[in-house]
Amino acid sequence: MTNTYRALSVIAKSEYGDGVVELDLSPYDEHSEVSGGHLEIVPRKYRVLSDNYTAAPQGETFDGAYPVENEAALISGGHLERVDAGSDGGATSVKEVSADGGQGGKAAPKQQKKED
Amino acid sequence: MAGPFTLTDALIIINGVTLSDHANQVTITDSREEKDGTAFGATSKSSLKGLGEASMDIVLFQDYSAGKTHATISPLISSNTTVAVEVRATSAARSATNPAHLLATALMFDYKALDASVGDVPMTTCTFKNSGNSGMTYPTS
Repeated sequence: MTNTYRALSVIAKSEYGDGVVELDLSPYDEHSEVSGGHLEIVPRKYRVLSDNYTAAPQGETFDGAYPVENEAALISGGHLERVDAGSDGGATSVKEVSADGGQGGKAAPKQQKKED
Repeated sequence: MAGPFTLTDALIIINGVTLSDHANQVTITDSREEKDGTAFGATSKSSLKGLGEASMDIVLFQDYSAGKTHATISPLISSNTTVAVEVRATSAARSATNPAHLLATALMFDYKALDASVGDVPMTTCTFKNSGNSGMTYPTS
Protein backbone atom coordinates (compact mmCIF):
# COMPACT_ATOMS: atom_id res chain seq x y z
CA MET A 1 0.00 0.00 0.00
CA THR A 2 1.24 3.47 -0.80
CA ASN A 3 2.03 6.13 1.75
CA THR A 4 2.39 9.89 1.48
CA TYR A 5 5.78 11.53 1.83
CA ARG A 6 7.52 14.85 1.48
CA ALA A 7 11.11 15.13 0.33
CA LEU A 8 13.49 16.77 2.80
CA SER A 9 16.97 16.38 1.40
CA VAL A 10 18.32 17.93 -1.76
CA ILE A 11 18.78 14.54 -3.36
CA ALA A 12 15.24 13.47 -2.50
CA LYS A 13 13.79 16.75 -3.78
CA SER A 14 15.58 16.23 -7.06
CA GLU A 15 14.00 12.80 -7.33
CA TYR A 16 10.52 13.43 -5.93
CA GLY A 17 10.04 17.20 -6.16
CA ASP A 18 9.02 19.66 -3.44
CA GLY A 19 5.40 18.58 -3.00
CA VAL A 20 3.68 15.67 -1.34
CA VAL A 21 4.18 12.41 -3.18
CA GLU A 22 2.51 9.05 -2.94
CA LEU A 23 5.06 6.25 -3.00
CA ASP A 24 4.86 2.50 -2.71
CA LEU A 25 7.98 1.86 -0.66
CA SER A 26 8.89 -1.34 1.09
CA PRO A 27 9.19 -1.08 4.88
CA TYR A 28 12.96 -1.35 4.53
CA ASP A 29 13.17 1.42 1.94
CA GLU A 30 10.80 3.63 3.90
CA HIS A 31 12.87 3.23 7.06
CA SER A 32 16.04 3.93 5.15
CA GLU A 33 14.67 7.07 3.50
CA VAL A 34 13.06 8.44 6.66
CA SER A 35 15.87 7.68 9.09
CA GLY A 36 18.35 8.99 6.53
CA GLY A 37 16.57 12.32 6.50
CA HIS A 38 15.50 12.09 2.85
CA LEU A 39 11.75 11.75 3.33
CA GLU A 40 9.19 12.48 6.00
CA ILE A 41 5.82 10.81 6.27
CA VAL A 42 3.02 13.27 5.65
CA PRO A 43 0.02 12.83 7.96
CA ARG A 44 -3.20 11.59 6.39
CA LYS A 45 -6.72 11.24 7.70
CA TYR A 46 -7.88 8.08 9.46
CA ARG A 47 -11.14 7.01 11.06
CA VAL A 48 -11.02 5.05 14.31
CA LEU A 49 -13.02 1.82 14.07
CA SER A 50 -12.24 0.18 17.40
CA ASP A 51 -13.11 1.25 20.91
CA ASN A 52 -9.60 0.91 22.27
CA TYR A 53 -7.39 2.98 20.00
CA THR A 54 -5.84 5.86 21.89
CA ALA A 55 -5.45 8.52 19.18
CA ALA A 56 -9.15 9.34 18.97
CA PRO A 57 -12.55 8.01 20.08
CA GLN A 58 -14.34 5.38 18.00
CA GLY A 59 -15.88 6.86 14.87
CA GLU A 60 -13.79 10.02 14.97
CA THR A 61 -11.18 11.02 12.43
CA PHE A 62 -7.68 12.29 13.03
CA ASP A 63 -4.50 12.99 11.11
CA GLY A 64 -1.79 10.43 11.62
CA ALA A 65 1.61 9.67 10.10
CA TYR A 66 2.41 5.97 10.28
CA PRO A 67 5.15 3.84 8.81
CA VAL A 68 3.66 1.37 6.35
CA GLU A 69 4.02 -1.65 8.61
CA ASN A 70 2.42 0.06 11.60
CA GLU A 71 -0.41 1.32 9.45
CA ALA A 72 -0.95 -2.15 8.03
CA ALA A 73 -1.02 -3.62 11.53
CA LEU A 74 -3.62 -1.11 12.69
CA ILE A 75 -5.79 -1.48 9.59
CA SER A 76 -5.66 -5.28 9.56
CA GLY A 77 -6.30 -5.26 13.29
CA GLY A 78 -9.58 -3.45 12.77
CA HIS A 79 -8.51 -0.25 14.50
CA LEU A 80 -8.25 2.23 11.65
CA GLU A 81 -9.36 2.89 8.12
CA ARG A 82 -8.10 5.46 5.72
CA VAL A 83 -10.67 8.17 5.18
CA ASP A 84 -9.20 8.98 1.80
CA ALA A 85 -8.95 5.36 0.68
CA GLY A 86 -9.08 5.22 -3.07
CA SER A 87 -8.13 8.83 -3.57
CA ASP A 88 -4.70 10.34 -3.91
CA GLY A 89 -4.64 11.67 -0.37
CA GLY A 90 -3.99 15.19 -1.55
CA ALA A 91 -0.75 14.37 -3.25
CA THR A 92 0.39 16.80 -5.88
CA SER A 93 1.90 13.98 -7.87
CA VAL A 94 1.71 10.24 -7.71
CA LYS A 95 4.77 8.08 -7.96
CA GLU A 96 5.23 4.38 -7.71
CA VAL A 97 8.51 2.91 -6.64
CA SER A 98 8.85 -0.80 -7.02
CA ALA A 99 10.74 -2.25 -4.11
CA ASP A 100 12.98 -5.24 -4.50
CA GLY A 101 11.49 -7.14 -1.62
CA GLY A 102 13.06 -4.98 1.03
CA GLN A 103 16.68 -5.61 0.16
CA GLY A 104 17.60 -1.99 -0.29
CA GLY A 105 17.85 -1.49 -4.03
CA LYS A 106 15.04 0.26 -5.83
CA ALA A 107 13.78 -0.16 -9.32
CA ALA A 108 13.48 2.95 -11.42
CA PRO A 109 10.55 5.02 -10.21
CA LYS A 110 7.57 5.28 -12.45
CA GLN A 111 5.97 8.68 -12.31
CA GLN A 112 2.36 9.43 -13.04
CA LYS A 113 1.54 13.10 -13.09
CA LYS A 114 -1.87 13.74 -11.68
CA GLU A 115 -4.33 15.29 -14.09
CA ASP A 116 -5.73 18.48 -12.61
CA MET B 1 0.24 6.45 44.58
CA ALA B 2 2.09 6.30 47.87
CA GLY B 3 3.22 3.21 49.71
CA PRO B 4 2.71 -0.41 48.74
CA PHE B 5 -0.22 -1.14 46.50
CA THR B 6 -1.96 -3.99 44.75
CA LEU B 7 -1.88 -4.02 40.99
CA THR B 8 -5.51 -3.96 39.89
CA ASP B 9 -5.79 -1.24 37.28
CA ALA B 10 -2.63 -1.39 35.17
CA LEU B 11 -2.69 0.37 31.83
CA ILE B 12 -1.22 -1.43 28.81
CA ILE B 13 -0.94 0.32 25.46
CA ILE B 14 0.61 -1.53 22.52
CA ASN B 15 1.06 0.33 19.24
CA GLY B 16 -1.50 2.86 20.41
CA VAL B 17 -4.08 0.22 21.33
CA THR B 18 -5.26 -0.14 24.90
CA LEU B 19 -5.37 -3.81 25.85
CA SER B 20 -5.53 -3.47 29.63
CA ASP B 21 -8.89 -5.21 29.82
CA HIS B 22 -7.37 -8.29 28.17
CA ALA B 23 -4.18 -8.52 30.23
CA ASN B 24 -3.55 -9.96 33.65
CA GLN B 25 0.22 -10.05 33.99
CA VAL B 26 3.13 -7.88 33.00
CA THR B 27 6.85 -8.12 33.66
CA ILE B 28 9.07 -5.16 32.93
CA THR B 29 12.82 -5.66 32.89
CA ASP B 30 15.44 -2.95 32.57
CA SER B 31 18.89 -4.43 32.88
CA ARG B 32 22.54 -3.82 32.12
CA GLU B 33 24.94 -6.44 30.96
CA GLU B 34 27.48 -7.29 33.63
CA LYS B 35 31.09 -7.27 32.52
CA ASP B 36 34.10 -8.37 34.48
CA GLY B 37 36.73 -5.65 34.83
CA THR B 38 38.89 -7.49 37.31
CA ALA B 39 42.63 -7.13 36.68
CA PHE B 40 45.65 -8.96 38.08
CA GLY B 41 46.40 -7.81 41.58
CA ALA B 42 42.78 -7.25 42.50
CA THR B 43 41.52 -8.73 45.73
CA SER B 44 37.88 -8.32 44.84
CA LYS B 45 36.02 -8.80 41.62
CA SER B 46 35.26 -5.58 39.77
CA SER B 47 31.97 -5.64 37.90
CA LEU B 48 31.32 -3.16 35.14
CA LYS B 49 28.10 -2.25 33.40
CA GLY B 50 27.81 -3.09 29.74
CA LEU B 51 25.01 -2.48 27.29
CA GLY B 52 21.47 -1.97 28.47
CA GLU B 53 18.59 -4.26 27.67
CA ALA B 54 14.93 -3.59 28.21
CA SER B 55 11.98 -5.87 27.73
CA MET B 56 8.32 -6.29 28.54
CA ASP B 57 6.52 -9.60 28.86
CA ILE B 58 2.76 -9.19 28.72
CA VAL B 59 0.23 -11.95 29.29
CA LEU B 60 -3.17 -11.43 27.71
CA PHE B 61 -6.41 -13.32 27.36
CA GLN B 62 -6.58 -14.48 23.77
CA ASP B 63 -9.40 -12.87 21.81
CA TYR B 64 -9.78 -13.20 18.04
CA SER B 65 -12.34 -10.38 17.70
CA ALA B 66 -11.52 -7.38 15.52
CA GLY B 67 -9.45 -4.84 17.40
CA LYS B 68 -8.63 -7.17 20.27
CA THR B 69 -5.67 -9.34 21.23
CA HIS B 70 -4.82 -11.40 18.16
CA ALA B 71 -5.81 -8.75 15.62
CA THR B 72 -3.63 -6.19 17.37
CA ILE B 73 -0.66 -8.33 18.32
CA SER B 74 -0.20 -10.85 15.52
CA PRO B 75 0.84 -8.35 12.78
CA LEU B 76 3.71 -7.21 14.98
CA ILE B 77 5.58 -10.50 14.95
CA SER B 78 6.33 -10.22 11.24
CA SER B 79 6.96 -6.48 11.35
CA ASN B 80 10.40 -4.90 11.52
CA THR B 81 9.02 -1.45 12.27
CA THR B 82 9.19 -0.43 15.90
CA VAL B 83 6.12 0.36 17.96
CA ALA B 84 5.66 2.05 21.30
CA VAL B 85 4.63 -0.05 24.28
CA GLU B 86 3.60 1.67 27.48
CA VAL B 87 2.61 0.28 30.84
CA ARG B 88 1.47 2.23 33.87
CA ALA B 89 0.67 0.88 37.30
CA THR B 90 -2.73 2.55 37.14
CA SER B 91 -4.84 3.90 34.33
CA ALA B 92 -4.53 7.42 35.72
CA ALA B 93 -2.56 10.05 33.82
CA ARG B 94 1.21 9.96 33.91
CA SER B 95 2.59 11.62 37.00
CA ALA B 96 5.50 11.39 39.40
CA THR B 97 3.57 8.80 41.39
CA ASN B 98 2.24 7.01 38.31
CA PRO B 99 5.12 7.01 35.84
CA ALA B 100 4.90 5.33 32.49
CA HIS B 101 7.16 2.41 31.72
CA LEU B 102 7.85 3.13 28.10
CA LEU B 103 9.59 1.23 25.35
CA ALA B 104 9.34 3.89 22.67
CA THR B 105 11.01 1.78 19.99
CA ALA B 106 10.01 -1.79 20.65
CA LEU B 107 10.01 -4.88 18.50
CA MET B 108 8.06 -8.00 19.36
CA PHE B 109 10.27 -11.08 19.42
CA ASP B 110 7.96 -13.70 20.83
CA TYR B 111 4.25 -14.30 20.39
CA LYS B 112 2.80 -17.36 22.00
CA ALA B 113 -0.54 -17.17 20.30
CA LEU B 114 -2.05 -19.93 22.43
CA ASP B 115 -0.80 -21.27 25.72
CA ALA B 116 -3.44 -23.36 27.41
CA SER B 117 -4.46 -26.89 28.30
CA VAL B 118 -7.88 -28.43 28.00
CA GLY B 119 -10.42 -26.52 30.01
CA ASP B 120 -8.14 -23.52 30.46
CA VAL B 121 -8.85 -19.96 29.46
CA PRO B 122 -6.57 -19.44 26.44
CA MET B 123 -3.83 -16.98 27.20
CA THR B 124 -1.17 -15.47 25.02
CA THR B 125 2.22 -14.09 25.94
CA CYS B 126 4.10 -11.51 23.95
CA THR B 127 7.60 -10.25 24.52
CA PHE B 128 8.77 -6.82 23.45
CA LYS B 129 12.39 -5.74 23.49
CA ASN B 130 14.05 -2.42 22.96
CA SER B 131 15.27 -1.63 19.45
CA GLY B 132 17.20 1.60 19.55
CA ASN B 133 19.21 3.60 22.02
CA SER B 134 16.41 4.94 24.15
CA GLY B 135 15.94 1.78 26.21
CA MET B 136 13.30 1.84 28.90
CA THR B 137 12.21 5.28 30.00
CA TYR B 138 9.92 6.35 32.82
CA PRO B 139 8.22 9.58 31.73
CA THR B 140 6.02 11.30 34.29
CA SER B 141 4.20 13.63 31.93
